[in-house]
Amino acid sequence: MTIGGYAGKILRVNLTDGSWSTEKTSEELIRRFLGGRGFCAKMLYDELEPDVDPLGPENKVVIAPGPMTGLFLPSSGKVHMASKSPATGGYGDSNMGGHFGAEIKYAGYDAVVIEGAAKRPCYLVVEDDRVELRDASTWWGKGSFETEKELKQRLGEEFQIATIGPAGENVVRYACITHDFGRQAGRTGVGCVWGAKKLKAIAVRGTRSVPLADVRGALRKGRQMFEACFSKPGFKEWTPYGTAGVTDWINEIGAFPTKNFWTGYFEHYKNINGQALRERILVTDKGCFACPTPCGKYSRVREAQRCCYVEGPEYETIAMVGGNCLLDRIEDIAYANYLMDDLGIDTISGGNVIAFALECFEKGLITEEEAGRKLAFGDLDSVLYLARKIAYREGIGRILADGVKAAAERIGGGSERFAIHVKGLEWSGYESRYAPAMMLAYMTADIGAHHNRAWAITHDVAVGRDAIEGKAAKVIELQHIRPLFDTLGLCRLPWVEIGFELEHYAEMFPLVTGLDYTWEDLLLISERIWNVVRCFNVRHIPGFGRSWDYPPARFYEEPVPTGPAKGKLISRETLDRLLDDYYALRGWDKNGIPTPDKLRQLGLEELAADLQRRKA
Amino acid sequence: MQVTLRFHGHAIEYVPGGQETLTVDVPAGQTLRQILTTIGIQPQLFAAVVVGGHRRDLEYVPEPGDEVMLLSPAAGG
Amino acid sequence: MRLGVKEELCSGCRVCEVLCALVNRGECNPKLGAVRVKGLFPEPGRYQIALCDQCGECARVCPVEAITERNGVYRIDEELCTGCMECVEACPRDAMFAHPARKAPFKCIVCGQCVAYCPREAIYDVEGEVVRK
Repeated sequence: MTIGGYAGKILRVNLTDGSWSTEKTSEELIRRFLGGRGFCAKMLYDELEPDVDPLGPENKVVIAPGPMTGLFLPSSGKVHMASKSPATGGYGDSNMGGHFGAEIKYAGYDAVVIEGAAKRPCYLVVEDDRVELRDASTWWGKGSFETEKELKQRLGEEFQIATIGPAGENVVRYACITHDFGRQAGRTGVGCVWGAKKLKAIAVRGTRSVPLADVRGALRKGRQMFEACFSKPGFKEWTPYGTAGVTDWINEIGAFPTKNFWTGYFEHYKNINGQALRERILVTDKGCFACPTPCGKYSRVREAQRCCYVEGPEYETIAMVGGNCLLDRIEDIAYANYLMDDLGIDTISGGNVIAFALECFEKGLITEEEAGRKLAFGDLDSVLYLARKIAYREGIGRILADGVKAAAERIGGGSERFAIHVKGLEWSGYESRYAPAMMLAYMTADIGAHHNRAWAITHDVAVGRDAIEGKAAKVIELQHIRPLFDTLGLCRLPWVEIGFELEHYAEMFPLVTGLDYTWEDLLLISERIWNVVRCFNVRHIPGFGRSWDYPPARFYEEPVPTGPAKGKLISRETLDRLLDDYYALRGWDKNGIPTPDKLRQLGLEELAADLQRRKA
Repeated sequence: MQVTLRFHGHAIEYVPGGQETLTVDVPAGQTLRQILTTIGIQPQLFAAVVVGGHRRDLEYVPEPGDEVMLLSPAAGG
Repeated sequence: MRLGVKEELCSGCRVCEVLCALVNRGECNPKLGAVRVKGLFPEPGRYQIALCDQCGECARVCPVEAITERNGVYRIDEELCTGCMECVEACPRDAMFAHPARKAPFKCIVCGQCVAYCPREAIYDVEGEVVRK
């Protein structure tokens, strides 16, 4: 049978010899892993040997939209990108909006797999069946924005383009991929892997139709879904501010990363919130494919020496570059955002690393001589200076470009206590000492300290921030729902932002695909994928287990000094209790390794056998 | 006096009974924060308050017959 | 119904494109939609919407008279059309579209679906008969 929603083919491109091939998207892969994140996890697990160097030619990048990407339903513009992460050495992925994922589907592909490594800078052009690797030396060294603009001029407006900046070229471990002048696959250094492979950009254009199992049914349901979105009050109230709108609330509950996570409250937050953005710098709302509630805020800064257009800043950048580096003007954050996007640095990791460096300087662990100048929190020039040093791996940037974990190992002096990461991935925008569920979400997020797997902070607020009971169960529930969006190729924000009901997706799925999966079936697949990723980490990271799931010492040794969460910290015992609960509910052993029984129950016999072989 | 509370977004699961709309009888002069606390809903669950198309906050004192929209916070990024 | 655009409201989501194709051609494929959204980035940071205003220039240049007007709406007779694409060249709005898999070009026939589902109300009915759902 033909399963609807799928383009039907997977494209493999080998950069080493310039060859490419296509294969039929296997029905087994679809039935067990759906697409997007599921394809990424399973293909990387199967195809990468444990000793693969993340920066070597044996590493691969899987770029996969999902079965619902590019369709007529709210916010269907997502694409997943994954590889063995140079930031963590484990499984790494990142999710991106815009129009790139939809275009891949329309070009006829359910995934694009990049293999090998080129000798000279190149870029990939895919136009339906035409696949071509071209010389990219003209753009090597150029910023993301200029590269995208010039490639559009050369190839045509209808091409959707993703690029890396200088940071990716210089293998900064947290380099990002930029598309549509401001959408990023930011996390885990997928852009670094592109750079190591000398892949500057991918340009895609597709003219094909995506088959649907029930065209009339999917049209009817699509209309109903949009109508339901339009009727939500959040549709009108949330959209003007986008993710930046949450800045006030996060400060009011004392969870806003401030001064390298020293505290959870930034007194100047009204100067960098969604309202400040909208009133002072907004040019237009900018949405991804089929999105009725565009969180993209396209802005313009007009200040002497600092004029720029930039998409954002969105909440994460406001938190990590704003509060965390103590920048207290939305214009300053927007400019730093622009520079980091153009250089191709993930603003989450970038803001985190820069704040870490500023604290090291404050504590005398980095000297003025080592830094090349004086550095200070709250000083925009320090932030911009460090961003450039990192992107070009110059001076202190050589150390910082490897991320906070590696940098702390080099700098020493106890700096690992305030190197804010899990598994080597820098922490994102929620200070969680007084939010145990959110803390556990960061500890157990499969790629490292990222918020999007389980945004559990409302649960902490709702049921009590001192409570521990039930927190692990909530985190697990969210860790299955939220990544399911990444698997189907959708954006979760209509659900999170405006309360769009999950039932809609469950009803749409069979109309699109013809598969009679229930929502519970889909959640089971999401759990299956979660376990594949955990097994990937067990397989690839020597000694991986429980000890990799702890936060840095700052969070269990230093009480929050100011703000609404003042005096709170999370004890080591609480962290242990949270992990014990979590592993038990997941069916993992005390060391956080999936048990063979659990894997078999999830239909992952091959992984159970693999893990047992490795044990023996 | 009567005030209608309309809850929106994912925090709805923490509203008793999971109801989208609650009409409550409250003494005049109470703030939204006090009203929510009285009926057993954590006020901090809501990031934004809208009354009659205007943005308010939890210190807003509803008038009789007000319809108050309470919006959940969204996760950035 | 007569369609108008307010480009300053557009956020570039392309719901109009994908819905138009689904309704009028029964396929999920924005490139079969009779409307196009183009982003002008990185500067000045706004969107253009290419949509037919039923000016009739296409009918005037068609060498085989395959395009005719009824009730203010121009339609293409695909039987008569030879696929010469002169109308595509001539359209002052860039709103006559061609696709490699189709012999005849295609254009807006004012079905109003984009008006009903444009989340931003950037495409609207000037006469006010149809509004967003």
